[in-house]
Amino acid sequence: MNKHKVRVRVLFFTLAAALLVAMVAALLFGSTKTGLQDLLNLLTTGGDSSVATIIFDVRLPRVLMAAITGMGLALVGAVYQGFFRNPMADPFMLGMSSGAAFGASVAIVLGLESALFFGMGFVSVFAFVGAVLTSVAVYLVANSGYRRQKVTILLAGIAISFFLSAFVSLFMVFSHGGVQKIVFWTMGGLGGASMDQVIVLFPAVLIGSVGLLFFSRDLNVLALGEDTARSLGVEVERMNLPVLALSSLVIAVCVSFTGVIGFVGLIIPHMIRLISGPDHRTLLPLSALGGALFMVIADLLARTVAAPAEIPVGAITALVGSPYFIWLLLRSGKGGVLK
Amino acid sequence: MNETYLLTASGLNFSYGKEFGGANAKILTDVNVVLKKGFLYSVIGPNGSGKTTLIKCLNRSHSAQSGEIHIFGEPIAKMSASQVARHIAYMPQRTVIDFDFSVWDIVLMGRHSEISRFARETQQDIQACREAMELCGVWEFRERNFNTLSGGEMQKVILARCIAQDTDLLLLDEPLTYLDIRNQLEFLDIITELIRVKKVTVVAVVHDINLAYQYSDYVYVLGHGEVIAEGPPVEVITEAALEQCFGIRVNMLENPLGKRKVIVPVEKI
Amino acid sequence: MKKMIAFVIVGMMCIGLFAGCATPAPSGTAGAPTTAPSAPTTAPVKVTYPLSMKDAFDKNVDVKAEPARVVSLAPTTTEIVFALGAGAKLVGRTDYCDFPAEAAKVPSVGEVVNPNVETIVSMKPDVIFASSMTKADIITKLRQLKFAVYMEDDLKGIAGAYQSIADLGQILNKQEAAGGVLLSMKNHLLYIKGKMQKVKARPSVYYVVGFGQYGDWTPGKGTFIDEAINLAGGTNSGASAVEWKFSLEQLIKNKPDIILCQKNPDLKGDFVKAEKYKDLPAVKAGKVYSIDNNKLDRAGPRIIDGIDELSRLIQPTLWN
Repeated sequence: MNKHKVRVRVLFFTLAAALLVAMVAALLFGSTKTGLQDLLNLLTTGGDSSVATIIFDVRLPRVLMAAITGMGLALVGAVYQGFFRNPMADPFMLGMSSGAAFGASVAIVLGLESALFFGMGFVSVFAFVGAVLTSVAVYLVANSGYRRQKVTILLAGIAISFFLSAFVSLFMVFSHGGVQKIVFWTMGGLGGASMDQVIVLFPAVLIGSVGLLFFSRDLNVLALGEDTARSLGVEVERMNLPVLALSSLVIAVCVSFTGVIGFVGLIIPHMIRLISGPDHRTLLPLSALGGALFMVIADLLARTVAAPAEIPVGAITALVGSPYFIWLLLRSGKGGVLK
Repeated sequence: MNETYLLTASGLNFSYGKEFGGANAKILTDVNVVLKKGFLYSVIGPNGSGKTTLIKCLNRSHSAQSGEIHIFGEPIAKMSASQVARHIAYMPQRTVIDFDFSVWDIVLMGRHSEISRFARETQQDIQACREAMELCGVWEFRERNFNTLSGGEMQKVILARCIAQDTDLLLLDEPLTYLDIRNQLEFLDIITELIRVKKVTVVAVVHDINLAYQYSDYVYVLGHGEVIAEGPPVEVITEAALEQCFGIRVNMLENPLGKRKVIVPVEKI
Repeated sequence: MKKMIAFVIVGMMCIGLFAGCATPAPSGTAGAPTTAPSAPTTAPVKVTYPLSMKDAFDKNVDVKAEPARVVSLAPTTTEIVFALGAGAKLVGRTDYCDFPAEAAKVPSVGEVVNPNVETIVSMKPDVIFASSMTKADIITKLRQLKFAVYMEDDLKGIAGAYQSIADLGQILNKQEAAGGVLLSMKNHLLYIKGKMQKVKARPSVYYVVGFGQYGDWTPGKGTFIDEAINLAGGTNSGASAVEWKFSLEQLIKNKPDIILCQKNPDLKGDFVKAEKYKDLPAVKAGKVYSIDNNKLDRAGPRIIDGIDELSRLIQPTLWN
C-alpha cells in the first residue's frame, strides 16, 4: 500500500512542476519571436512596450484561461465517469455542448456579437445561458422519468442534445452570414481571452471544483453499484442535484468562453487512473492538474505550430485524443479498462 | 414496538409503479417479517415470488407502498442512509465494478458510514477490515485487482465487506448461486461462525433447498409475493409444503452424516 | 478596367469639390439599392488628429495621430488601403488579401475569421481595419488592448463601399485620393447606367455560388448581387432564393438565359459537366461564363468594376 502512495505523490509533484514549466514556456513562446530575451530587456532596460502587451495582455490571459478550463473539464470528466459508472463519460455527454452552441448561434444570428454585457461578449453570455438551461432541462426531464436510473439522465441528455443541434443546423441554413462564425465558435478557441474573462472564469471553476471534491468518497462507493452504495450509506438520489449543478456550472462557464473543446474531460482521467488508480480522492485533483497541463500545451501548439494561422484548440485535443481513445478500445479487448 | 427484536416488518406491500416504467405488478402482499438477534434466516421460494424484492424493501432500496419497518423499535423510513448502513449490511446478487479497485479498497468501503467525509480511515477501521478478511480467507488477496478474482473469491470479498461494516444484520441476496459446492460450504461455515461469535443476524435468499434446510434456524417461504409458511426448517420444509410451493414431488431421506434429512426431488407435478 | 479619358478629365476637375467625407446615401436594409450618392457640396476640410469617428457598426474609432502603420483584417480594406495610395503603410494583412499583387509582400496575420492577436500586436498598428467576418471576441480583445479598430460592412453594397473608402480616406489623411477614387467610381457607374438605358431585352441570369450535392446557392432578392445584376441589364433568375438557398428544380424550371459561375473557387469547369446541370439550356447554348466574384463580394474600390464585368457578360452587344 505504501508503494502506491509514493506513486501518487510523485505524480502529483511531477504534474505540478510540469504545469508550472508549461505555463512559463507558454508565456515565452507564441506566434512571434517575443521570448525570454525580450522579457529580460523589458525588466531591465524597459524596452519595447509591445513586448509587455504581448506577454501580459495577450499570452497571459490565454495561458490562465487554458489552465483553468483544462482543470475544470478534466475534473468534471472524472466526476462523470464515476457518477455514471461509465468510463466513456465526458463533460459534454449531457448535451451541454449543444446547449452552448444553441445559445451562441442565437447571439450570432441576432447580430449581437459585438454587443457587450458588463464587459462580456453576448455570445459568451448566451452560450452560458444555453448550457445552463440545457442541464436544467435534462435534470427536470430525468427527474420525472424512471427516477432511479442514471440511464434516464443520459437519455434525456442525448435527446435534448439532438433537439438543440437541429436548431443550430436550422440557424445555419437560414443565416448565410452566420454559418462560418457558428462553425468557428463551436470549434473552440482562446484567441479573445482577456483578464476580465479570467476573473469571471476562475471563481466559478474553483467553486464548482472544490464542491465536487466533497463527493470523492461517495464516487468511490458508487462504483459498487447504486443499491450497494445506498446500503453503505451513500445518499444516492440526493447526490444527483449537487453533483449535476456543480458540474454544470463548471462546464457552462468554460464552454461559454472557449467553445467546445473535447477529449480533455475524457482522456485525462483515464491517463491519471492508469497511474494513480481509481480512488477519486486522488483521481479528481490529479485530473485537474493533468487537464490544466494538457490544455496549456494544446493552446501553445494551437497558436505556434502554423503561425500566424490559429488551429482551433479542439482540433489539437482531438488529434491527440482520438488515437489514445482507439488505443484504449483496443486494449479493452485484453481485459483492460472497459467491461 | 417490541425492542428485543432486531427488525420487524409489518404489512409490506410493494408494486412496481409508473416510476419504474412498468405496469402496476404487485410483487409483495401483506408480508410480515420478524428477525431476532443471532440467527440465520433463509428465504426460499420459486422464481418471481418476490424474494429479492423483500430483501430490497428491508434494505430500503425500494420503498414499500405500505407497511412499516423498524430496527430495534426505530422506524427506518426516517433514517438517513448512513444510519441504516450502521444497522444493515447488504450483499447483492452480483457485483460488477467498472474500475480497478483493489480488494482492500472494496472491503474498506464497508466502513463508509463510519468514516466522516474528509477523514482518513482509523486504526479501528483497518482492524475491522483485516479481521473480516481473515475470517473470509481473502486477506491474501488484499492487493489484487478485484476484477481478476474468481466468482467465489469475489463473493467472499463482498461478504468480508459486509462483515467489516460491523452491523447487526446482514441481508444476502442469493449469495450461493454462483458458487461451486466447496465455496458454498465454506461460505456457510463463515456465516455460522460469524453468528456464533458476534451474534449477528443473517438473512439469506437461497435457491438450494437442502442448504436452507441444513443450515438455517428459521425459514420464510414465499409464494406469489406472500409468506405462505414460516418457522424452523424441520417444521416448514415438508414434502407437502414443497409440493404446494414449488409444484414438485420430493423424497426426504435420512441423512447418515448430519442431523437433518436430505431432500431429493423426484418429479414435477 | 477601362476608363474613358473624358471621365478622367472630369474627375480631376471635380476633385477639388469632392473633398471631405461624402455622405453615403441612406442604405436601409443590407444591399438595398443606393443609386444616388449625395453630391459633394462642402469644401475640403483638412484632417486633424486626434480623430474620432464611428465605423459602419456605430462603434467609436479614436485615432491619435496620422497612422503610419496599418493592419488590415479583411480583403476589402486591404484593397481600399492600396487604392488610396497608402499601401506602403500596410504592415499586416490576412491570408485572403490577394489584391493587389503587392499585398502578398506584406506579412500575414492569419485568417480573416480568426486572426492571430499576438501577431497583430507585434506589428504595432496605429489603426486596424476589419470586416464583420472577424470573430467578435477577437475584435473585442483588440479594442480592449486599446487599438483603434474600424469595422466596415461588406453587406452594404455600393453605399458601403463609398462609406468605407471615404472613412478610410479620412483616417489615413488620404482624402484627396479617396475623393478621386470615389469620383471615378461614381462616374463609372453613371457610364454603365448610361449604356444600360439602351437595353432592349433583359436576359435572365443565374449566378452560381454553389451547386451539386451540397445544395444550390445563389443570391436572392435583397442581396447586393441581385441589385448588381439588375444594374447590369439582366434579371436575377435566382431572385426567389431565401438566405441564398435555391433548389435545382427551380433552376431547371426557370431556364435562365445566362449562367455566371464564381471564379473563386472556380466552379464553371465542374458545373458544365455535372449531371443534371449539363442539360440546362444555357449550358447547351454555351452561355456559361466565369465571373470574378471578389470584385462583387468586397464592398471596396472594384465594386463598380464588378458591375462592369457583369454587364459585359449580360449585355455584350451594348459594349461593342
